[in-house]
Amino acid sequence: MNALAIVQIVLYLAVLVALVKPLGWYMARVYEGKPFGLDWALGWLERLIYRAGGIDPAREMSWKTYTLAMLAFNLLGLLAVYGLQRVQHLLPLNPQGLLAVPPDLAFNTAVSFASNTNWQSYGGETTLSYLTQMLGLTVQNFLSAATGMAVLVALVRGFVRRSSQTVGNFWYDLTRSTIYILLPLSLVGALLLVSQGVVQTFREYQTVTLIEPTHDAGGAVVTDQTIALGPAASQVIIKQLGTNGGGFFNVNSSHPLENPTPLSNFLELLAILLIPAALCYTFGKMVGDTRQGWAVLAAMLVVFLPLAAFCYWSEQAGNPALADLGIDQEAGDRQPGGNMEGKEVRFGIAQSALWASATTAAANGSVNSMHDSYTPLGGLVPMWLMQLGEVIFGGVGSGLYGMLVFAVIAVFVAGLMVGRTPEYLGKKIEAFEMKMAALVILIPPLVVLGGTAVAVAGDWGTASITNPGPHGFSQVLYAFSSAGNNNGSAFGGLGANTVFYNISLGLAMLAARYWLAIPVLAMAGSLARKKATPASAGTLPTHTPLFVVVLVGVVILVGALTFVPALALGPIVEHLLLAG
Amino acid sequence: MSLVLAIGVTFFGLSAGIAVLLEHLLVETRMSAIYLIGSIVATLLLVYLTAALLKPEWFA
Repeated sequence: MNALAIVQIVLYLAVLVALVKPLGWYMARVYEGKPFGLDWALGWLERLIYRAGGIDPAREMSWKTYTLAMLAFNLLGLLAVYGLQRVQHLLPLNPQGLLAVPPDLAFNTAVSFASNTNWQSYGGETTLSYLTQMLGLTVQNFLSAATGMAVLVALVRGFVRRSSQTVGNFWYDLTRSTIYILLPLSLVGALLLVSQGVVQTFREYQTVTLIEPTHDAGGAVVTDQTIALGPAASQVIIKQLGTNGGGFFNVNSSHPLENPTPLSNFLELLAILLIPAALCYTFGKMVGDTRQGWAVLAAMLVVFLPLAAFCYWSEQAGNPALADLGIDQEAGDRQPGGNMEGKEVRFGIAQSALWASATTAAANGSVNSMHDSYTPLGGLVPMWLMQLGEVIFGGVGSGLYGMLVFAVIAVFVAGLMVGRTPEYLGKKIEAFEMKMAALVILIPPLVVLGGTAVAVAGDWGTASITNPGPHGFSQVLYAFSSAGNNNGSAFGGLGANTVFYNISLGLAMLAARYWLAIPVLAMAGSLARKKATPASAGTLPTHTPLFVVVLVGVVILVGALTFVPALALGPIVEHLLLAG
Repeated sequence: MSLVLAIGVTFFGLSAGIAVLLEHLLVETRMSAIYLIGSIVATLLLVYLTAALLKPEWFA
């Protein structure tokens, strides 16, 4: 690992950790209803939304009412995005005259954005009008992120409240997440991105003459290039902040108009982990012990850092097959060295590997390099980070509520080992909580491994593989790992825009999002009903390094035991063949 | 439109059903969603294995 790479990674983490406390403190005040400054400036908007929607924000909801409100709201969002795509050719802001999106692709895209996955079977600049991108996708970027944050807040209230039948008000949490957290951060971030050259315009695509004519695949001379434009900056910032990840352009943040400079890259990369990391502090603040939040954040970093470093090392080490041919892959003054296939020269290997790790640790899914071109072990890292259940930072809200479920399992396992009563944050962990936790950790592997098995069992799935053999298996496993954990990134070599993949991945995204949120909310309801148990000599402290180790162990063991056999069929065997 | 309506409404209807199921579980009935899922998976696996034994050409 060279010094420049270390500086880049350390700087990134330093800025990230420095922002955790102020942003986390701010978000805690937003959810606790305490003054935080912006309520004075934007309170009118919040009140207007409540009045327009006929909402009484003070009306408390049981966990079931909260769940039904969440499901109904997300179903409406899904239908709206679907409808918008199907009639986009009749609507304004479509300067390229793009046609209606086919039904299966529209379904996949609508599910993808409603569920905060943002898997993209479409190419933005060739499929979607400006109106669809803005009114459909960007709006869902805000609302799906806010939905995840609302579910998290309900779970945290479950820990905080004593003998309560309610977990809060879904509309209150959704509205405040959107207008006090996501909107202001997006506004500032979008302006910063525009300053770096990220495009933001309604003008039609521009055709320019090439300085140096080239040839197409058929040998014909090409003298012109069409440059796709659009209102990208406003969508790019929320795709990062909301851990959505759906690129405005097809190649996502590799595109020079979506991520033009190293500074824009740093800002976008920071935005990926910013809210998921800060929510750890928010959680600690809301439960009245910030050490709890730091412990969870520490566990996330303990898993993230070595994996990111391993991904970087694998890519910098380069391709063993090329090394055998005597090709120089050492970094030097004239070349970055390593495996630069599928990576942008302006970002290099460190920024690409760090992004690949961050975007899959968080349930983001945006890319600034092509993961399909990574070395087998380099590509294994993003895949496994997703398979860990998107709890290492994870999606905004969803990552932390997933991690808190793992914390519940960790105290249960620790309790079994030493004969202590399982308690977490003063609440007894009993059979019901464990059943809900088991559902949360069982559903994603069921979706991922079951989906992959079905896909590789016949032509319906294998026909889309562009690189047969173990890498082809990796392509399919990656696709279902991504959809089954609401990430959205892809091994782009898989031709996923088929009816089979659009429907099966769509269903995988729905199950991964909502069938996890329901048990989490059920757990919140159950915890809220319990009385507080005072800490005793038999209570396992959950803010200590020991607990961090136990928590990391549980996350890794569940991820390893569940997915290593499948990984052995894909990236591991591919590595052995390559190194052979 | 019929496709997304069918799948979307079915899925979310099913999800609401799961919420109700968990609510029952919460108030101490003996139903458990885990056993339900486990039995469905086990049944599917059994059907697959039996079919693979009797008609391997289906999976060739």
